[in-house]
Parts: sequence; structure tokens; C-alpha cells
Amino acid sequence: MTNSPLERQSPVRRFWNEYSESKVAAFAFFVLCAIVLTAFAGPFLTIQNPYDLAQISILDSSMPPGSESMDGATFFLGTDDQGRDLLSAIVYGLRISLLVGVVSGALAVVMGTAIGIFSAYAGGRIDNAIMRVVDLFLGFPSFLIALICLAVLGRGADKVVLALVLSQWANFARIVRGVAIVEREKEYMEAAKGLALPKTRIVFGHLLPNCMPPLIVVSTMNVAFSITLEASLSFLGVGLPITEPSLGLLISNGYEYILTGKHWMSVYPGVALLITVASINLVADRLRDVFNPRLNK
Amino acid sequence: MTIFLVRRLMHSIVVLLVMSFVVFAGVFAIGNPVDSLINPESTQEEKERAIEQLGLDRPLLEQYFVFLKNVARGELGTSFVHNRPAIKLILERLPATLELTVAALLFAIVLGVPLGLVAGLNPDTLIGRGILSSSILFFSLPTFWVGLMLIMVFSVDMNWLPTTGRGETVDLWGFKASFLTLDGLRHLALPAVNLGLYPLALMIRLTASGTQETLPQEYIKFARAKGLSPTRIIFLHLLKNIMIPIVTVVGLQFSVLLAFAVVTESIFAWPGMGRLIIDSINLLDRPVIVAYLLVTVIVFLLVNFLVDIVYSTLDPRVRLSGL
Repeated sequence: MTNSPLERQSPVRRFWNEYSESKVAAFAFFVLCAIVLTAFAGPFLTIQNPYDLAQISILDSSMPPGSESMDGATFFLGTDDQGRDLLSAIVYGLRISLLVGVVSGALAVVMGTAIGIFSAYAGGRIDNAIMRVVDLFLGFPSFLIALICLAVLGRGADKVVLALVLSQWANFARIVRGVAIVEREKEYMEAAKGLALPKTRIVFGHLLPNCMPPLIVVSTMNVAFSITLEASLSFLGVGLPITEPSLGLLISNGYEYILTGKHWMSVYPGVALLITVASINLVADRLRDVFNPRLNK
Repeated sequence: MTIFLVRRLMHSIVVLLVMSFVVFAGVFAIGNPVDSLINPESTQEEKERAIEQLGLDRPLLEQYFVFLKNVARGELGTSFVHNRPAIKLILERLPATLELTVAALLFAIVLGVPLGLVAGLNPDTLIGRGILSSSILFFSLPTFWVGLMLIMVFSVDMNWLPTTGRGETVDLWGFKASFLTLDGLRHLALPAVNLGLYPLALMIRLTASGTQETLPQEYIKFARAKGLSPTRIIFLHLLKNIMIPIVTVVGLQFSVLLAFAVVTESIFAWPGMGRLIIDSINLLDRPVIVAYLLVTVIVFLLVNFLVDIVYSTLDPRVRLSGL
């Protein structure tokens, strides 16, 4: 008896085959992997640590892309006003931007999921009250919520993460609750309850896995959104402090040089930000198509 | 209809009260209100007098009611930096921000709906796919960076458009308006495009998906079978039905843009309230922050209320289910 090709494939393989039907999305996925690897391996790839004052020279400041430094290294993307290699600064900035985006995204997912599941599971008045709070948060743009938080809390990386989490969690709570309420009524849940399984097992073993598909899509998009949001806040000078130079701060530093024609200082960090955010969005967009059973033909 | 509107209005008032408490708790209770409300350069004696005058020694709930009473009278304190009533500072700059926001939204609608229609009607052509792919790109573009690029290309390289300020303004019912003069329009162009890119992408995707969902509907087939002209079908039957989600999103986007105007205003030195709030946050000018938040919340609620009215006019089912 021969196995059909479908049976021989592992779930991951099958998923990838479907995902990569869109060539653009497959390409975006590889770009994203490359970006994450670059961010991880950052210190080993760059020609200098741009924030080690011993390694940079003011004599190299504001050099256009492709120039050579005093000791012979090439600045492929030029240098900034302090003489930092811009490419190295971008790699270091990418680390911070990705870290803030992923950490705040993950925390928002955990917080939102917990509250959403609890709300759906509790039902009744508790559910109603929690959803009122969620509506209140969703009624305001996340940028404004983050701005309010930072206005109250002050500056710092931890505060930026907190602001991002507070401005995003409601999204997840709403989505998870919506899915959970539908799932709660299904027969497998009844079966699980009929078996008198412990509550934690019902929630974590049965309810949560079925909420995953929409959650994965939205949390992927959320990381992209968090990165953009953090960059915007840092650009405005209310986000990360100067000691943690994310891509947004790099762009902000180069801002004043645009008018004098030294465009590279903010163009290239911006391109790095754009590629990162665009590849995450493309991956999320494709994931939604793959997960959405309505579109599966 | 009236009952529906009254209910919505009540809802708005509740939200406003809740928000006022959040703002109050955030700005006055967290952190030291003495530091945030009293000029740090004043002497110890002056500070004590101010604490008593402001009622900071009284219980929190009592303080909140005093705060509410002051808000109702329009007294939100005096800016430390500008030494003028905070609410006046904000209201002076509100028209500039509204002008920018409306201009950006108009740009998005006027360009986005036709483009979305083209993409939705021809989803498998090169043009349709191109429009949809570029809308994903617009989603990913960070607003502030696009602003810098616009300045770089159109102001520095080509020298076509100015980069800062509102340009020449005209008095319009006591407010300054840029869009009535040629110079003002030239100043408005780049900021409006910058702020409008995100809602443009949203409009394109919304119209395109709405068109694709509406086209297979029975009433469109019926209209076609009746021999109506394609233009009539598109404008009368199709557009009318996809208007409902579009109106909702326009309303929601108005609030989002009002918040994001902070970014655009900072880049283009547009003298709106967004620029003021960033300066105030950096200088810890709390009365101005409070004034900004309350004014923004009120504008949000007003816009949402207007959207509800338009929405229930377009779709009578909303009125009924809203009860």
C-alpha cells in the first residue's frame, strides 16, 4: 500500500507548502529570518561597536556612504555626526527595536489572552465589566494611549514597554474572548466538561489551542506595529532614552542633517525599519490567508 | 432615532467621566502633584500656601470633585512654561490640527476609494494587484520617516514645497485657515500627504474588499440582469452598500489621525496642539498635558457621536439593534 503524498508530510511541511504558494510571502519570511539573525549576531558582524567611544573617531564624522575610515575600514552606509559607522549603528539599533517590539508584543499577548479567556470563561457580569474596560481602551488610538502613559510615567525602556503593552492588550483580549465564546459552546468543550477534566486543563489543553490561529496572525502584526510605535515615540523624544538607541532614535539623530543634504543618516535607518516592518506585515498577511478556512480552496 | 441618540450621548458622557478620572489619577495622583502643579522654583512657604489653595491635603475623591468642578468651569491650570491658561493654549492650536487632520482624511478618501474600486473590480489584473500590494507597503511605512523623505525629495532636492509652518493664513470665523490661500495650500500639501498615507492604504483595502464581497450579491446580479449600465450599478448599488464600513472607518481614523498628527506636526513644524503636547511632555508642563487630553477626548466623543448619527441614517438596522 502506498501512502498518498499528503500523509507523508509533516504538519510543518504541509503548512510551509501552503504558505509558500505566495512567492512574495516566502521571500518576506526569508528576509525576516535574515533580519533576526543579523540582530542576534550583531556584535560579531559589525566593524565596530558604535557605542564604544574608544572604537569611533570624531575625525570620521559625517562621511558619505562608501568612504574609508582613518584605519582603512569601509563605511558602506557612511557615518553619523559622531563618526559612528552607520551600518553598525543600524545593526545595534535593530537589536533594540526588535527586542522592544517582541517583548512588548509578547507581554501584550499574554495579558490580553489571559484577560480574554478569563472574561469568556467567567461570563455574565464579570465578562460585561471586563469588556467595558476593553472597549474603553479600544476607543482610543494606541498611539495616544502610549503617549499618555509616557507622559505620566516618564522616560525609559521599561516604561516604553509598559506603554506599548497597555496600548495593545485590549486588542488581544477582544479577539481571544470572541473566539473563546464561540468555542465554549462547541461539543468538544462539552465533552471535556463531561469528562470532569480540571478547569486548567480545559482552558490550556482545549480552549487555548483553538484560539491560536487568529492570535498568531494578530500578534505577528502587533510586533510590527509595536516596532513602528516605539520608533515614532523615540523619534519624538518621548520613547527610549539616548542610551538605548533604537532605529527611531537613529532617524531622529539624522533628522537635522537632511536639510543640509546629508541624507544617509536618516534614510538608511529608515530603510532598515521599513524592511523589518514590511516583512513582518507580509508574513502576517499570508498567515491570515493560510489560516482563514473561508479562503482555502 | 431620538432614543438611540440619547443613549449614545449618555454613553459618551460616561466615557468622558471615566476618562477624566483616569487623567486625573494619572497626572495628579501618580507622582507628586506638588511637583507637577506648583512651580518648582517657588519657596517652601509659597509651596505650602499653594498646597492648601489647591486642596492637595484633602482626600483623593474630594480632590477629584474639585478637579471636575474646575474642568466644568474650563479652569485647567496655568502652563508653567507659557504662563497662560493651559486650555487657551490648546484651543488656540486646535484649528490648525483639525485642518491638517481633515485635509489628510480628504486626501485618503478622494484617492483611496477610487483606487480601491479599481482594485476590487479588477482583482486579477496587474493594476489591481499592484494597488493592493502597494497598500501593504503604505501600511508598513513609518509615518515620521515618510515625512522626512517627503521633505528630502520635495523640499531639499526639488525645492518645490516649503517644509515648515502653515504659510499665509486667512481669518475664517475667528480662526486662522491655511487652505484658502495658495501659499497656505503649498504648506499644507506635504503634511497632509504624510498624515494621509496610512488612511489611504486603509481606504484602498476596505473599498477593494467591500467591492469584492458585494459583487456576487443577488441584488447586483439582478441590477445587471435588468440591463442597468455598469456605472449606475457601481455608483448606486455597489458604492452605497460599501459606504457603511467606510464611514465607520473614517470616523475611527479621524481619532487615530488626531493622535498621529503629533508626529506630522513635529516634523513639519505645523503649529498645532500635537507639537505643543510633545514639548509639554518633555518640559513636564502638566496642566497643558491635562488640557490636551481632555480636549482630545471630547473631540473623539463628538466625532464618534457624529459617526453614530451618519451610520444610523445609512443603515436603519443599527438604530433598531442599538436599542
